[in-house]
Amino acid sequence: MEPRNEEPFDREPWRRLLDADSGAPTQDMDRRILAEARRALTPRVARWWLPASLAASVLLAVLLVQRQLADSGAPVPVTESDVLSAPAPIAADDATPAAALELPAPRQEESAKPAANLRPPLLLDLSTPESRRAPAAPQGASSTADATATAAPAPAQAQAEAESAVTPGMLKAKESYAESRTPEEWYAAIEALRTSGRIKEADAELARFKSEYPGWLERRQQQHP
Amino acid sequence: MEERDADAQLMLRYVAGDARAFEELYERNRTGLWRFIRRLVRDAAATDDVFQECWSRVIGSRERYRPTARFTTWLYRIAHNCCMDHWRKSGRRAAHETTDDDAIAAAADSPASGPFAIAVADEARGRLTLALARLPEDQRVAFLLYAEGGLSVAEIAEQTGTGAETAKSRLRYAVARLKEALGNDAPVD
Repeated sequence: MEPRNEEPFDREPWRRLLDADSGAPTQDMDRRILAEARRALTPRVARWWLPASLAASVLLAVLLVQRQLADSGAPVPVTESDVLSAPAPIAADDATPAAALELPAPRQEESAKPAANLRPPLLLDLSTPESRRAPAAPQGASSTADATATAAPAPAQAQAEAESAVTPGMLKAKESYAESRTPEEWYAAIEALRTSGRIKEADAELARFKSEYPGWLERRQQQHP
Repeated sequence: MEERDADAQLMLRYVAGDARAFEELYERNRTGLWRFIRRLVRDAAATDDVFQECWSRVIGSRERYRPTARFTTWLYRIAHNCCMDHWRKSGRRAAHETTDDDAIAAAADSPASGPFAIAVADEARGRLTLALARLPEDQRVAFLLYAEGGLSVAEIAEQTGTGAETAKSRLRYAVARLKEALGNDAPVD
């Protein structure tokens, strides 16, 4: 190791003399130290595992939400450009049933609702009046989807909040995301937003939710007080 | 040197998770370290506390251990740091800068170096204990780090915050005093 040529004296005879001295730690002390040494090896895994598992859980949750947001674009039948380029006949036939629009079949709890209460195929908070008048209609479907869309009233304040909460670039994704969800999933997402502290977005989403599912929240609260 | 390397290997095995390696490492060093601490601290209860604290630090800092020096060098440096912490806490450092009559009395009263032991069992050993207790603190630390801990002069200087010449001077004074106390029982250079 280090050079020993500067040793002022030979240490070995002194070491032997010192080693001849009696005295040693007690057996109880030995047990305590050895136990501490063993303990130090055991919880090392736990100390590493606990924050790692916590971080993994948070990461998984974030990834799931992001993936859900990303995947929600796939089933959207109409893009925003389609909407903007589509002719805008308004309220052609209010009497056309919702089933004729090739919308997903209403869920059981929604089956009793009138067609006007069903969620429209396009969101109501598009930024331009034209786009509001030209909602998505699947090709070959009747333009009565417009009527369905416009039939769902949205409070002006809630709509304004919703519009301010999202950017135009996010609008399309949010629309398609909202369409692909059941009311339960949508409401859960709103609650998740609120829990994560994004109150403004949660309020905006809730306003949109109420406009698209009027009375759903009240019925749910009655069913699950 | 091989034994010291063996200590380092045992420590590395312990770092890797081998508890048996620590048992062996502890067994190899427990007695020497305990006596080193006792000779510095000179109080039975405090010796146990400092001894346990020293091994706790070894255990706690195992991840940072690198075998760049002999294991015993690392170990005795930790032990010396623990002793200094003990002195700071107890406020006794200043009292031990020079010869400490209380410590001499404590050393004389200990089972290993009491009058009976000195007279009957091992007179040279008892005189060494007393002579060590009579040494000024700095000389005693330097001597014990050198003779028992195996530190080099440079390492002692670094550990005690002095220059190499000061450390060497302390060692020479310490040995001169110990030789004077031991007389014919003193080791011959």
